[in-house]
Amino acid sequence: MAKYYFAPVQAKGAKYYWAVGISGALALAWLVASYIRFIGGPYLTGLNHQVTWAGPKVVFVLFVGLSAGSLILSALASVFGQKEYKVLSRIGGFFSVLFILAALLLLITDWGRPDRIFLVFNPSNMNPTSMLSLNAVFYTTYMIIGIFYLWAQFKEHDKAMTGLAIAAVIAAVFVHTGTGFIFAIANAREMLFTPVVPIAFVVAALSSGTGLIMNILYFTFKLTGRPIDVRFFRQLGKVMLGLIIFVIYLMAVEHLIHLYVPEHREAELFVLFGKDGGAFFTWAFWGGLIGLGGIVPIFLLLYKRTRDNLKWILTAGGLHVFGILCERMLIILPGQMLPINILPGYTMSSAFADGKIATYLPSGWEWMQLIGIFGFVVFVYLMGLRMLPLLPVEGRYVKKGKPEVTELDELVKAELVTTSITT
Amino acid sequence: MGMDRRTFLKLGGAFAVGSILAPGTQYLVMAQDENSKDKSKSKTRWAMAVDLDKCTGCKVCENVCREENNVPFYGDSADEKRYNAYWLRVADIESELPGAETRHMPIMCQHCDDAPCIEVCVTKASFKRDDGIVLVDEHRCIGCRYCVYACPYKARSIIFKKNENVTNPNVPAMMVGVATKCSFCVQRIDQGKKPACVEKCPHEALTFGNMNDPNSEVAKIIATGNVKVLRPEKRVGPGVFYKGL
Repeated sequence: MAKYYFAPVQAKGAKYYWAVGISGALALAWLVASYIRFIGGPYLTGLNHQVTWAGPKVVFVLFVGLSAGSLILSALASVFGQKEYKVLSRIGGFFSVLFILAALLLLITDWGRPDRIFLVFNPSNMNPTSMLSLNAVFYTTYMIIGIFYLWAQFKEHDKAMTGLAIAAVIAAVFVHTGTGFIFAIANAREMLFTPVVPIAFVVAALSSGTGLIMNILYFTFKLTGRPIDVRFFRQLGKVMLGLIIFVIYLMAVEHLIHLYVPEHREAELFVLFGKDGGAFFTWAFWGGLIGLGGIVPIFLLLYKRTRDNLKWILTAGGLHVFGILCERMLIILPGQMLPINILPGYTMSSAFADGKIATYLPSGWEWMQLIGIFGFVVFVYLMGLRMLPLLPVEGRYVKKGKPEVTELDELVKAELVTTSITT
Repeated sequence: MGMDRRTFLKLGGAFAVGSILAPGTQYLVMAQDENSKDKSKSKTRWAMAVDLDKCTGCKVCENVCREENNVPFYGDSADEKRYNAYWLRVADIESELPGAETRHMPIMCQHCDDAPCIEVCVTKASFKRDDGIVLVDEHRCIGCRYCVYACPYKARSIIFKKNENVTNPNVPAMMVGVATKCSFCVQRIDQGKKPACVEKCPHEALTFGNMNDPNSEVAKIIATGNVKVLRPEKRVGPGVFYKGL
């Protein structure tokens, strides 16, 4: 078992500054777009009175999932005793906080009145029957536990780390089940109304979190010149394979139930077979979720020639994250675009678009928000790498007593500063 | 580190438990408040009856509603149609049975007993008065649009843009970014008048009153048993009754 030391990276290369510049500009674009949207009014979005939750909500749900997924991966070392996962325990913990923060920022700036955020935290305003109001408590608790957990890791406080990791895992399950509940309990929208949704949310969170963290780990290690242990990624790939199969199984159950129930069948046909102009969702379902996000990764992780190859394992992870992005979109958009059936047995039409399948395309400002929030995540990560002891260094690269790192700075001339030492 | 591990763990544990339980105790207190209210004490339950046999689809109600309540109408272009707000709209309905004629149906907020919008509201901006009217406090709404998502009748609108055309100076122009919906013309009811759509309907298709008062017109129409509510399977207890459906 190799010893690991954690230390911030002092990156100096032009590549690093370019990455910081571009991601910083994107983060700024998110801020500008959000401000303009807020000042001008929601007409600057592609929303209408029927599709009121759209692009930003899709990415919000994806991020909450990635947060829970990275946290549980991170906790594998401290809670479940998988020592080899210690390599990613800090990055996982960092991303769990970062993703929930980015998710909440995106959620709040999607509101019509983000300036009233303090109203949500006023105890007398809290509504025990509103899943979003409860989630405000869950999300905040989760984020605070996540920050303490990360801090305990920096301080090498093993016992506190274990305790906080357990608390964080429990909070992550609450957070993600709660996010599933937001959609699953909507009385008005049949499309979303199954108890499978919150469970599928948690499992998809784990699988997509694994896929993403795996890629982040690989590229960070490669760009900072760290040695990459292929066996570790093979093991992660096996974990992910199981999770992906479980996700696809849950999807099959959910959609078959909907297809079987007559009231929901129209909606299912819209999504699964493109009836009444649902072709885009049919592509997203069969091509994105089942194909690229399911069958292809499963094949890559099972087939003898690709399952041990690092590049293919990472490709499988990346494709699965894309598949889950499609899944999140399929949860949120089609259920709202299909008209509410106010009067079963009648066809209905009005100036308020009753009985019509609504359309939605993100506006330019929404695209700026959506792409910008990814820039925000990258920007904060690049800053974090430099300021916090996130990345591991194997003991054999560190001189005893005075850990000075050499031979690690080939690609971006990363230079390790010795602030925190561990075993 | 300044403190020993044991102290740290104790503090950490207390913090974690506290942060999980503290909001919960708040809810317990609120739940008691809810239960202690005796709902039967309220004698008034405002309700509306719509006679579809009398409705001709002239849309007078749609227009007077707009004028009375400053409901924004931005224009007729495709983009503006997307975000024109409606408190009340007249829908054309046609039965799927063979040979059925097109009929007209005004749909507004149904002022449910167990309103899903109040259930999901994050800040309790949507609330119910003791007389059954469901209202939105536009100063408290954060514009998250969960209520629009949850309403089974599509009765809610978002204010997408500033309303330049304020027709009734006695009613506030609506705030941009928040949710809005039919208030049964609460400002008129509190003055003892009827909602604008009821008063101005040229065909007397709309009736308004207190359904708990057996002598009111509404109560009499409901008592005939010849009325239906929309989406009864949702069990939200609507306060709008349709006759002739």
